[in-house]
Amino acid sequence: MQIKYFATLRDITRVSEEHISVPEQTLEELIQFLCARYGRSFAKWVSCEDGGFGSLSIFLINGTDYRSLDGLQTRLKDSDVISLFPPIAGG
Amino acid sequence: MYGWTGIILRVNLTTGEIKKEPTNLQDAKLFIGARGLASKILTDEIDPKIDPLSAENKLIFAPGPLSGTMAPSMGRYDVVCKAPLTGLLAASNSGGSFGPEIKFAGYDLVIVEGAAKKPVYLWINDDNVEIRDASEIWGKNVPDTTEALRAATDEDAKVACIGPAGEKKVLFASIMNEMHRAAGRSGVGAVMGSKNLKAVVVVGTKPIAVADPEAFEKAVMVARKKITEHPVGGTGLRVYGTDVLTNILNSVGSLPTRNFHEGYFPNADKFGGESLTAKYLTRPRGCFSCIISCGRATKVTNPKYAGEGEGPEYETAWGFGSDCGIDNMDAVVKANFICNELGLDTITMATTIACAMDLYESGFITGKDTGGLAVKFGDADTMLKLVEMTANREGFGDQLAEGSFRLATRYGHPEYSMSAKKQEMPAYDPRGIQGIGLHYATSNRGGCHVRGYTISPEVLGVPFKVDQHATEGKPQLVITFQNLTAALDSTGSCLFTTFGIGAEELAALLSAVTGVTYTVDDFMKAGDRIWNLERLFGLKSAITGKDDRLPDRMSKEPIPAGPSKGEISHLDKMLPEYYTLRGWDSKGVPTPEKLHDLSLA
Repeated sequence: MQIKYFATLRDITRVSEEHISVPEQTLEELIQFLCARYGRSFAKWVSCEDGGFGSLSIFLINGTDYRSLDGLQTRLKDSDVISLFPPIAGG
Repeated sequence: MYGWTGIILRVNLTTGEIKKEPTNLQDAKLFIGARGLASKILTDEIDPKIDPLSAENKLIFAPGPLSGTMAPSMGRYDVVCKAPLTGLLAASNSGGSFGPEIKFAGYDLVIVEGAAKKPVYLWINDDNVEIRDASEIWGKNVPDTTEALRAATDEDAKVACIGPAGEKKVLFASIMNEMHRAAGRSGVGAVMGSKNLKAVVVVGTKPIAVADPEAFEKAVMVARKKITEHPVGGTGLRVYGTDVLTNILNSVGSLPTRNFHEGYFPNADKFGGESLTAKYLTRPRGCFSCIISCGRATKVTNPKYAGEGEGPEYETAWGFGSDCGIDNMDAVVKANFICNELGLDTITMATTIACAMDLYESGFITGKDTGGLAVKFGDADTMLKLVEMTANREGFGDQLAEGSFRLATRYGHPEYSMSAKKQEMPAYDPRGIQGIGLHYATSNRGGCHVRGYTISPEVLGVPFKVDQHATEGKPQLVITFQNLTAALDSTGSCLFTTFGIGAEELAALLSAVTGVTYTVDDFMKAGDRIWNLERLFGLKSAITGKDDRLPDRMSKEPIPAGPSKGEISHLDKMLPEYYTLRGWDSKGVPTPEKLHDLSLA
């Protein structure tokens, strides 16, 4: 699947997007996989563990917010485009 | 008085009379300050039917009771008048330090009346106030004007001025303070130009009295902690600025593109906040007492577009970017610099050019109308040329200077103007995000995002997440945001404090500073009161409930591609409930009971 990183997450991963081929899994499992790959600085923004900001982060699956789907239990397909944003705002 | 200085400065440019009047405490309690109190005074004093560019209009510079205090991010003020772009009340909000400086000089508001016979500027040095000749600076751009006036008065003076666009009464001319901060929307700069007022220059040295210093210090520390610990207020905005929104709006398929024909722009990343930070940002900048610092000091090094200044904000990058079909970030940043230097509202400027591109590509405007210019989507250099031509009302720019509604109407196709109540909609597609569409349609100043920023829950999930495509619950959500923002604007606070604090903390700050007890309900009711006051003026001046609408394109042309493909606005489903919840009748008129409840009857 295609993973797109924005804002701080792009700075941490040093890529704007990458392709990851993994067996069918949930969004939660993908987040855990990425946290293991990119470490604590990444986990701080996308996970709720250790006081992280994950509950305020924005995860889109093909442009739809995961909270309008099955949340972290949303099942992912290899053809999906996943966009990951840390908590952001503006106006 | 505490928080409020208790003095209003009134200057009549026709007669030259300068007066100092007591602030009406009862009105101050009910309407707070800034947007609210200035709107109350303006609506009491002018006939809603006046020509906005006549001497009968008044121009009010309005900080709030929290302006100039040590509460966090209290650098905002409003410029209030009848707006030339819409015929509605304008309350254009700007940051920097100009608003607090008015308070330090000892004034709650500065009311400018009448019109001078020749160019003048107003010099406020604490108690000493003078109307001075501005003939030598008339015609200068904003940076040159600012530097000349600092040299003529005080090197630390805060300067709010117009550029050539305001002098030429471009209907969306801005008032710029401290060079880069804009009271942008609705044409307040044109009103200033119509009064032959080039600038207001202020130096103040007085303290602001606080009713309960101990309670205030406590409330300040609570607010600071909540804002700095919030990942958005404390980190995100400082690092990336507001333009970080470009990629998220594009990713959910609601980044208006090519005059709102589409909601997705494949190259949006080129002008997003990540690119701005990587290639253009020299340092973040904050307003008075700001702990967020979303401002961007920026520089373009490409010789073709070279320049230095501040910004762009998200709405500006979007407007000159995807709405014009342009992915050249050098040109987008340059367009923002030109708007700031010449004194133009970037949102209406960009969207009016997008409208012209749309009309041209549809064949309704030809080279005969444009003076030979091919005005096509994606042409960055023509876009830049049109910005300068508009500010100077040169050639086809003279038509653009009237805004997109009048431009499109001139060519027989008002439906090409992406505006509500003649003011252009900003950077969030109301087909893909239902609540913001209801807000656009009902906003008291026409197309506008900041007075009811439902994007926060609908897209960003702050402070909670709701489905952007749903209509259920949106009328109450919009009303809550509209009322909260009306009250917040009236304190002098920055809207971005709400990415950390809300009505409870703002009411605590306001109570401690003024000595007037505001509960959360009192605070929200003040917002409701201000909203209804603005509505009443609009109904008398320019609109009926039939104007609570969006362009037909929003309900008849589904978003053609991207994540929000197939979506249209369902405004008609939401509007009746909005009226009912507001306490308005079926025609959108506040009922007598509602007005009595708000002490507006």
